[in-house]
Amino acid sequence: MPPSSFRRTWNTIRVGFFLANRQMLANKGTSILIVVVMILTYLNLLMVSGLLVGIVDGLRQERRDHYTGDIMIVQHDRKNAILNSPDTISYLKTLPLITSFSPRYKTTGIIEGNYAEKITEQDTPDVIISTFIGIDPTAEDATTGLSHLIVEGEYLRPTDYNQILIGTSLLARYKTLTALPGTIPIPKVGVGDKVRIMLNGIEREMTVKGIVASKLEEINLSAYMVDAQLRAMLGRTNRGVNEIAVRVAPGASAPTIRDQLKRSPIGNNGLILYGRDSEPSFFQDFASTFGQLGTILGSTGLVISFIAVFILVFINTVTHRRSIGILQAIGVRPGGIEIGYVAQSSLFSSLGAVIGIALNFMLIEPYFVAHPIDFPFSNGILSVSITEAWVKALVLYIAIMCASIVPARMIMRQEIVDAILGR
Amino acid sequence: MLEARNLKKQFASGESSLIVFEHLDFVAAEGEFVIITGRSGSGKSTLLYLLGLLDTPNEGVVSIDGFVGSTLSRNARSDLRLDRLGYVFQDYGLMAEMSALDNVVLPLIMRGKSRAEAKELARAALDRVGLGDHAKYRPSKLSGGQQQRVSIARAIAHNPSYILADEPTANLDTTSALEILSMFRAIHKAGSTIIMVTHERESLSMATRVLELKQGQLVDVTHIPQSPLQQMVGL
Repeated sequence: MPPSSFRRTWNTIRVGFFLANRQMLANKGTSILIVVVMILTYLNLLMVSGLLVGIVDGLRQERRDHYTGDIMIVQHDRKNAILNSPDTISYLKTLPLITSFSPRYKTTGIIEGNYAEKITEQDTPDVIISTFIGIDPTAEDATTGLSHLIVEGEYLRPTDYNQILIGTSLLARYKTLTALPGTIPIPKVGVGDKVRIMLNGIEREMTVKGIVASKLEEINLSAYMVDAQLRAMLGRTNRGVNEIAVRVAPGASAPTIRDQLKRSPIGNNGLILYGRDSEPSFFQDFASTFGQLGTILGSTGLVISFIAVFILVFINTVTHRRSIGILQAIGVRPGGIEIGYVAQSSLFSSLGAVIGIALNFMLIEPYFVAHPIDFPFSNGILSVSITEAWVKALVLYIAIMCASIVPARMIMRQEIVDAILGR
Repeated sequence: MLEARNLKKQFASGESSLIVFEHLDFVAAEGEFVIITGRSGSGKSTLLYLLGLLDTPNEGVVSIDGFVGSTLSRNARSDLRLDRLGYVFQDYGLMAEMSALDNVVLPLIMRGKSRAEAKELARAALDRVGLGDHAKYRPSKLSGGQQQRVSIARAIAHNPSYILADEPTANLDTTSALEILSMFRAIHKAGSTIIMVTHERESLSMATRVLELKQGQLVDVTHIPQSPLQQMVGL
């Protein structure tokens, strides 16, 4: 009795896998080569966009590591400080999952250099607008590791007075690009030189104790001094600070702690923000621009691999035309032969993606974290989420499936005798 | 019964065309051993391809046990070939990347046999053609005669109603050719219907019917004397 239609279909699938298995085993070298090509194609798909997005993510990480910490508390709009700052600080000290925090006074003002050389009224003063940040050097270093950004001179001590750290973008020795008046870096100023500070209507001469360099312009355009001195210059008798950078314990969830803080008694004293919430909007613009660029470049790579696999399968089917004809002659359904090719491509692309994912998350990404690429405005890392990796694996899989089905179908449309005789 | 009625096959090339045959009828009853002979280019193989549903006639119909080829879907034609036909090709038609055993196993899996059952039946078929100990060899490691025997094993393994053989001895030396022919004779004696295309006179005496394709028509030439070589080897 002839098999049922379902049974025939099942047998066709079995034969397809049988053919795929035998062809792969018979051509082990070629199979391995194709899997390697798939791995490279997949990594190309992941890494092009991953590196581009990683430029922004590297910058975000720099900002989190050296400026905002995990959570940032800032003053409300139209307030000149965080409300009840001493109470807020006292409350933060009671939370076990907060390992450190750094309250900061913050204002803008002017730095003037080389003023001793400007003796006539016609001499243009070397001035630049800067952000002044008053810090507790110990708390700041524990929270943001600011001392690690010192490239010249020394870090501040809590007892320092009239000592200042200056960001590299304020100094012509580091920043040579021309800029708008008031933002032109000060020439000939380095460690040990005197500068004049003008803020809140007060002038003070200070000594440059150290130079701070970061990938983050927010830091490079800042000048740091000890909090007590800036507080005095600002006349903050109520000790109201402008922002507090908070570092949470390793493994603790910053968003969860942020939410807890929002619900706590200090929740309304200031805006409590989680890392990305506090970043300037251009970060997101950069991220989405680079993401789109990565998608375009990655798609080009995908099209190239589609064409490569199409050609590969097409050549394979053309060179096996006669065998395909014979298989049909002995009763193998065309679907079985197609399944044979599709199963091979399926295995190759799946293996390529799975090995690619393993390589990416176990080797390449950790490497880039340990050795970021030194871009001018960011320490570029490889930024790929696991969801993105699986989605791209699926995209590659579907593309490769299409690339293998089409040529197999084209050959299968021929008359069997034409395939056998090579007509 | 394998039957062809009013067959016409024509090859067109540009504006010119060649009619190989037309109004051609053919019948092979169960248990027959039909040999189709004729000069090179007479259309013997073309006819066999049509009888085996590997090609489509310009006119006419081919039916196998009542199933008319032209009315069937591609899959149904494949199924019909699988269920009722076995093929032996002039140049063996084996899959180069598979062992002799796997070549024979393939149609058995398609018939729904389990892997183990298919292997068992394939081994039995290879034993029948005297290649039981060559099961693991790939075709490239076998001689022409051995490859053709694998091809025969593949054709008979699933006990088809009809075996179609296209010049099965044309590429072989005399000794191997005679071995293959005696194998066909044994298969026929075991009950299979065989339709063989050949131009070699040595095989003619095995047939229950010999048809010559001449000027586009089949002529029954069954009663012709044996060649001296046939008489010598007793075929």
